[in-house]
Amino acid sequence: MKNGFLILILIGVFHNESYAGFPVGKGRTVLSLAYNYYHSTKNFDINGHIYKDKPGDYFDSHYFSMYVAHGISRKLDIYAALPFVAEQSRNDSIYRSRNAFADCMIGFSFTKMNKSFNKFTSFKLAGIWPLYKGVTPLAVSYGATGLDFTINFTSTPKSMKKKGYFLLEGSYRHYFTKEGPDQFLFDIGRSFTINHFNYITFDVTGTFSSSLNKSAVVIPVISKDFSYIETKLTVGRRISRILTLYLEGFYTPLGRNTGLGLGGVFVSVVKLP
Amino acid sequence: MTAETEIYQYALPKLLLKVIRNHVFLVMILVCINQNVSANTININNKTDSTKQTVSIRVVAGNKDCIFKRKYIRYTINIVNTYKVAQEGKIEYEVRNDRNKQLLGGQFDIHVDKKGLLIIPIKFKVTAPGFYEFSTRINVTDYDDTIATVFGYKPKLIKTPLHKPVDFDKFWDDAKAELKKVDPKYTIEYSKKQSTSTHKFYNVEMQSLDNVTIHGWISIPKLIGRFPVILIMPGYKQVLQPFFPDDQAIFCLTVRNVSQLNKLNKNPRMEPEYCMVNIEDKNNFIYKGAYMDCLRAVDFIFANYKLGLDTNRIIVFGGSQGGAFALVTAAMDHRVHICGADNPIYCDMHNYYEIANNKRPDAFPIKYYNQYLRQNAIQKESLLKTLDYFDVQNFIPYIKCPVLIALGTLDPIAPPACVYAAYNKVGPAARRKSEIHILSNVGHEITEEYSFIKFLWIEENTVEIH
Repeated sequence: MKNGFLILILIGVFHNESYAGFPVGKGRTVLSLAYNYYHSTKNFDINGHIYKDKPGDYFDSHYFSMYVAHGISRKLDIYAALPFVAEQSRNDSIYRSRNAFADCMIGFSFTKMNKSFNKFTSFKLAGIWPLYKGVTPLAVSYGATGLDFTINFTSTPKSMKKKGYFLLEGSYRHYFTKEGPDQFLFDIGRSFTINHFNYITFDVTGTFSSSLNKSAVVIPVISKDFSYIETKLTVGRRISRILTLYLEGFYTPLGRNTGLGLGGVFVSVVKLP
Repeated sequence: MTAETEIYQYALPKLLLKVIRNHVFLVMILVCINQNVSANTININNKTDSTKQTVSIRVVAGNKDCIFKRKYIRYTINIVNTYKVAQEGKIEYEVRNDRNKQLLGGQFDIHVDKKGLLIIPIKFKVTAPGFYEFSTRINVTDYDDTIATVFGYKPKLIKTPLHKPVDFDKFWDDAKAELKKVDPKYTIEYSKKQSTSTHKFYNVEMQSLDNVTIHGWISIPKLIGRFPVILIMPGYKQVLQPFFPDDQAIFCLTVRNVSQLNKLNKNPRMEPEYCMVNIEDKNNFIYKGAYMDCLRAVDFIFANYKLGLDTNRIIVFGGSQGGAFALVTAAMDHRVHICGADNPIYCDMHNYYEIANNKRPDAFPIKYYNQYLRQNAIQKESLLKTLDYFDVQNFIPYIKCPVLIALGTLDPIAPPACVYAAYNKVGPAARRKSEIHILSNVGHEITEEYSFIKFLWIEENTVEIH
């Protein structure tokens, strides 16, 4: 079983919690708690073909994440994410499990708005620090520090004003090891506002990870050279003045050297005060 | 006072002219880059025939928002000629103060080549802080027009005297005491018809000064929690249609009207014009009651917070007359958290009278004042004696909360000099968190951009409770 999917999960959660490309607002704080479940019994091989795990083999991940963003000014936010992973796998009849804090991320986001305040361009720079050691018995991530640079464009054109927003995001991520990897991530999203407090979002996201290490590695070491495209459907409901809940389902239709699975995310976003 | 001018002339390549014909604005961007000035422009585009040949003139201020703080005022006049014949003629310019007195002027003979661009940078000095009109008159072979723009010079230093009556405080303390004695008799009626799937809607009534019944409506999101309340004050004779923001409750107030006073025999002259009802009698002037109506609305919020209203975050906002109401309410009731006024009228009335009389005597409300003076053969001082009790700038030093004010430089109803003079009287503590936005080349209105800034400002200033 190959598992690039941990990165996949991480991206999914960050996307939901980052408030699209909108700034948090001066003096305000957004606190988000997310739970992500992922289950896989299939994989994409190095050529992108799907194959099944041996009978009884699987990979399960329970991913908890706390995300905090604070508006330093109208345009500048500081944000941090602290994830915790509980994962289990059965591979060739060998059962492994691991509970650990994963890669912590701390960064700044600067947003430029147009004069009509309906187009937001964000530039995000974040550092990645592993909060665990080693990749055994299961890999949590690469166990290396990294840097993430993201450009996000979110637009609510006049014709879409009451119907949500359009999102385009591209990220470059580098891990500081000999083998990298270097990753390019993208997200194309369209959010619809059903009424004032109910939302639906469709996203197509993808990750292209390249590394000198081209091998299709089995657990416990995570693969570094992989790619996939993922589709997501998110439903959001604002519950109170400060609390909004999101439920997300995702599926990976295309991939190379990575896991193929189904998952769901539950996110609660609290905007303070 | 002198003006120093230079003239440059450029011929444009054909390709660029093609662009100009369809995108004159693009040319201005190029010109602005060339001149290192902001693109604060006025454009008159005179399309004279079907071949789209034009003469376009733009007057570009050398500073953002047309506000100058340094020695020289700089403008650039740009003339684009897309005709196939050269344009001959002259340009006249003049600078007038807000009393309509000409301070300087001049003229040039100009020649604009066929398909040519003429750029005329002008710089001059004014000495006194204030707002001035810079107008340009062009008269060439195929085109003539006049463009007027207003600029400000060191507006932070505009200082005008307060004409505050000696018994001003007592007058308003007595009025508040009078209001307190009136049983508010709040009635709240849930409107199923006007409620939506996401918002509750209520029609409300209450008793104000002189037992006048005032009305309003409230929209509140159907969510758990208490919401900051935006108390929206009405413009002149304005009734606002319901609207439903996601993050705030809206309380839209309608103050007393003339027919209510007629029924109560409180309008002995049966004066139809709102701003003139009992204008010579400070105790019965309609605005005494209207100001008290605004305070009663704040009382309502506190008395009915259980509807889902956050009494720690009361935001008072209004435009024009509503702006005046908002500022007065924030001054007289310190339970107000923040206050915003777009183009507030009734600021610095003595100054206003001079400006309006000299520049736009036909504008509201000066036209009613003058009409009244003529009909009753009295002097303006008689009116100002009453108006001094209601002049917004006399209230402003009492404001303790952050204030957001917008003014339009071309506004004849709330002249920029009057609004800025009033803003300059905000006390130092409140001023630290206050902002004034100058909307250049805008009349008695606000821009879309400013309305977003206003929204952000509300969001940012309702973080802390004070």
